Amino acid sequence: MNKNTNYKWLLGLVVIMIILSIPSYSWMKKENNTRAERSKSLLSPVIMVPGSSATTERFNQLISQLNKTTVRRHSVLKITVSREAKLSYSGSIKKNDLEPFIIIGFTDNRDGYANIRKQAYWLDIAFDSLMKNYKFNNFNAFGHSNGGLIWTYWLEHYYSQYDSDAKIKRLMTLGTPYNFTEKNIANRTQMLADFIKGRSKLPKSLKVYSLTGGKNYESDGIVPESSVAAGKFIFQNQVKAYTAIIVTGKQADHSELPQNKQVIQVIRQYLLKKPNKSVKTNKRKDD
Amino acid sequence: MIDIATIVKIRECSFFKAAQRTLVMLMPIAMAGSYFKLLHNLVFAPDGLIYNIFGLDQVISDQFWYTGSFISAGMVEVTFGIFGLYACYFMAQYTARIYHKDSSMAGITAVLFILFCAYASSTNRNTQQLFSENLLQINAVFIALVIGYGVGLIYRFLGKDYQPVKDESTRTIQSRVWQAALPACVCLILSIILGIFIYDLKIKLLNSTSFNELINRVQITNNLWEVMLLTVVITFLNWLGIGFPVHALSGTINNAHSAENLTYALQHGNSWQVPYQFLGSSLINNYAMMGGSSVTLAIIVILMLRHENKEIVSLTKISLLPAAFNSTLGFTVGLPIMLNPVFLLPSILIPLFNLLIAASAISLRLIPVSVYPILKGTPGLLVPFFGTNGNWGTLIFTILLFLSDIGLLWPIIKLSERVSKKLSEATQENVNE
Repeated sequence: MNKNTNYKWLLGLVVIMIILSIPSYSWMKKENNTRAERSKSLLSPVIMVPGSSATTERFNQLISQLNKTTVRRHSVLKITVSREAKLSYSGSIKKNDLEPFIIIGFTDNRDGYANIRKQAYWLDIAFDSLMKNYKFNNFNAFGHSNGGLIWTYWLEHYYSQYDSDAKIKRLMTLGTPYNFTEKNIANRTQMLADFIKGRSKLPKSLKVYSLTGGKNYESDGIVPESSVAAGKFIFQNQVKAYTAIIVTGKQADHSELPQNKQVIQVIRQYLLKKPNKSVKTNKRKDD
Repeated sequence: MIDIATIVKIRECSFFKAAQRTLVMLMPIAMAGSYFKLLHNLVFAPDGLIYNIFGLDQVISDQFWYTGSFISAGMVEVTFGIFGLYACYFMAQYTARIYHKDSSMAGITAVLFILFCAYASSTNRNTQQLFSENLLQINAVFIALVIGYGVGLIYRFLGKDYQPVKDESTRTIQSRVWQAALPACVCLILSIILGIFIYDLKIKLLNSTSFNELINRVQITNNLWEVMLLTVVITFLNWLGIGFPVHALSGTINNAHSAENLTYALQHGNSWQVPYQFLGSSLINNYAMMGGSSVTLAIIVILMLRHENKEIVSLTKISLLPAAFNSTLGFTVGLPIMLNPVFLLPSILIPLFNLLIAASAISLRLIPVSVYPILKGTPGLLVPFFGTNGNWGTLIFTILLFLSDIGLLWPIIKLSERVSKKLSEATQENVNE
């Protein structure tokens, strides 16, 4: 038997392992650090998406109303995604604000299913950048009109990759036309059919609130009540809880909904963290 | 302790004889699969080791990456994905050959048999997927071997004796085909009957879901006795050629218990006091199997150091790299370790030994619990090190554990060499007769 040279092979393997281990080690340390920061973070943003033809300025009035009743004001970060998927920022998240509002709007904010799919992709680009820049492990989502459709599409197609890092807790949609302008629920649009088909991908722990305006008995002036109600075919018995609310009275018009007092009340009650003491002191001042 | 004569006797029985020949024959396919799997895990998977640590995300173009991913995934699919098909063919062939029957016809019949079973158990009839891959996968190769053996036996009892002819004319082939008509038809009918059972009773013939219960238990149990028992079951199945459970435990497990452990570790900066100290998935994957490579890599190292047989040394050389990165199938099929009676006890006892030592070390606070996610393709010996966020004590512990595995396996390898010597002597005698 000739001389055993196999130890050279074993030595080679050890060398390869050591060479690989060094970058792996620093990569792992960095990665686990980021994980730890994210896990310890108390940050829980509310991410808002406006509807078609609306920009990131759409919720200004809503936010100023919400901020009136809290001592610690929610800071606001606005992100606009261009057609080329470039992000432009305005505003900022204040350091000690644990519940900031992040508004994501799109340069191309046209209506239609094709564009909603594009917007969901753009939303994902923005969300990905948020995940990289801010360490949060949970968030709430809010969508007005088509914004709710964009969220639903995003949840079914993109959310799973973030699931282990950042959980979505609640989604609130406001006058969201799950069946577009179709009044008859028997006629399902392509989009609704797709949403129902993909519903199993919706996170099981999510709580959904769907609000609609009752300007008259059929609609909020633009979106039929039955189209908003079609959301139940997507969410009911799929997510943890699905609640539908109809808001009537003054300002129950589709475009006035984000300024509606009852809507603001509902947002405060269900979407935001439970009001702290400061709200009480504020109320006393109001009286 | 282990009687050579008994092992030789077992090896001489036709099932094991044919199975060993089949597996050795299929070594090149398994080896190619191992290398492409290695390539896929390291570079062309989003959670691959090299892909992440060298930031290939930024370096290589989308087109190149998708092409590479397509090639590696595709080659894994045609090697490991339909390994059962090859195994079934050769198993029937070698079984028929042992009994001097028409082996090629037996092989083809066996392919038809297993394909029909795979067709019957495929649940998604209307999609493009024609066959249930689970039945054909290398992870279920035992089933394929049993089917191949069954077909071989039918040829044994119903087929006519056959002597291979060197230069076959069309006429002789024609008569060969007709002579195989009876056993082939019986096999066809049997495959239809079995297919009806699978289809109508919705029996998921070794579909991976059949093992979900077992795998779930392993993932959530924190009871050391149960972990030990399940380790025995899983490693036995793995030796048998049913690798689904072991496969399901490798990589990062995402369930409530492991998430709780990870959250604790992230909040406290270490994993010494996590709520689930003896979580089955973590203990088995990290220590018992060392990411899947423990026993296999130890055997490779021993064979290299002993340097007894030229073919085997060549086999260890080409297996070393993939096995170190947990892609061990090329070697377990090529030696073979799978279904080899000599390696039955070590395949079960070595992981059990590792598990017990590791559990003791954890309870004595010598090493922390491994909870952090690891990248695909992390070398088996480094899995516990990275799983504990780089705890050096754990690295030293794992290396010592691996060295003691080598020590324990050394006499087994000597035994296996004596067995193969006996076997080749026996074959030699047969030839001389």
